[in-house]
Amino acid sequence: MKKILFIEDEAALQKSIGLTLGQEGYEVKAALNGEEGFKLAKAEHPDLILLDLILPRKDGFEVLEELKKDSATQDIPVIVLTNLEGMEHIERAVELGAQSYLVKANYSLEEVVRKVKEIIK
Amino acid sequence: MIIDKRYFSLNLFVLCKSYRVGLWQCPPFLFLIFGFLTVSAMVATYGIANRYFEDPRLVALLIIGVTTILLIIGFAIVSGFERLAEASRLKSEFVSIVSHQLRTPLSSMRWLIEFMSGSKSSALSSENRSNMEMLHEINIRMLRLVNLLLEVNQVEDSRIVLEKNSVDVKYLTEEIVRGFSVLARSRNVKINISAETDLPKISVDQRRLNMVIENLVDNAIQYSLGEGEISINIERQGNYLKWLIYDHGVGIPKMEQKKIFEKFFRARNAARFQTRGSGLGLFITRAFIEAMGGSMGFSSEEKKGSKFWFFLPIINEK
Repeated sequence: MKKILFIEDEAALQKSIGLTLGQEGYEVKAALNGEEGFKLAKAEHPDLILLDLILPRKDGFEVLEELKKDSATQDIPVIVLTNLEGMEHIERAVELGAQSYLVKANYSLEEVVRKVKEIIK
Repeated sequence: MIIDKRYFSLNLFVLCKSYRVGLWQCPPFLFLIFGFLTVSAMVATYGIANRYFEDPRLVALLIIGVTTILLIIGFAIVSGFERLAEASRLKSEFVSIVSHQLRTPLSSMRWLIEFMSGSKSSALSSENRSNMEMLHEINIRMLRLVNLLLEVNQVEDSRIVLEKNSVDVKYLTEEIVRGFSVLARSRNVKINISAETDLPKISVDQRRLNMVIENLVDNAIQYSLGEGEISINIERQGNYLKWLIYDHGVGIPKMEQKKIFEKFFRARNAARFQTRGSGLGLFITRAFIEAMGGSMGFSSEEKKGSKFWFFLPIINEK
């Protein structure tokens, strides 16, 4: 079973995405802040990480940077899932190594799941 | 570096742009003009007074008097404009903060609703399923409005950043019309799409074009007065793609036609038939089309219907 780590501080999103991906046959690990997210990524070595950018303790950019610096986690694809949509944010996330960048307000649940499937295959 | 930044803030053009007003309404610029005016008035008063009065004390008094009056008037005008400019800046900042804060809970709601009405968790009664659909539609409407407000802010700051996607306009239009099928059915409105075969894909910002077409289709349905037919036609005209929508709705009164692209403007008859509407749709629609290198127009007759069209350049990007 493929494993997905979802780093997001909003419980409602954890629930909707987590349960939907669970139904699709993925094992979903949840982290509610950046620090926990990075630790879980190292411990669990998931097949994919969904990452919010505005997070308590350690923001998404920092997490992304650390993930890509660490040899244990640098190969895990990361989808950024956020509501920040300034060009500077998108560019920074892509430069840091994000595989895909989705703006929450513009995507339906179904489209997010499709994107996950595309990358994880 | 710090000194550099200070000089930067002395640059009137940059400063005025941050207030989002023209040069002649920009407080720092007006201040400069008034300074110049005051100095010239002093010199002129000196010249005139010197010719007519012998007593230098009287001349000095006159100059002081004129200068004081000018300073007071100038101060009043400039500070008035400054308050206005500041209010407009605060307003746009306020809109931006509120909209961003609204987007997060709204998208959480959207996904939770989508999860609950998803096929694999279908413990819903058919009534609750349709309630869920309604909730979903309301939620999407709110998200759209919030997005629209953010886009308006960006347009006004002239910081639209366009993406480039290769778009099949016919397919996009069909998808959007499908999304409106529930609304159209509930209003007894039929939508026909006709398109030339072999239309080329065009290179535009797909999300923005999506908003444009959504707006025009939504308007056509809303103002169709409960029944009627809407036709959409897509064709190639030279190096442009022409997209046209035609409805048999309430139309736009002649008197108000030149105002319909203004921000927050709603035609009087439109507000009577359809209370829902922000008056932002057409403003943003035209701004997007123009930003993408196209143009748009319309013709309309009251009680007969409206025709809206836009042109987008066909750019072959290989």
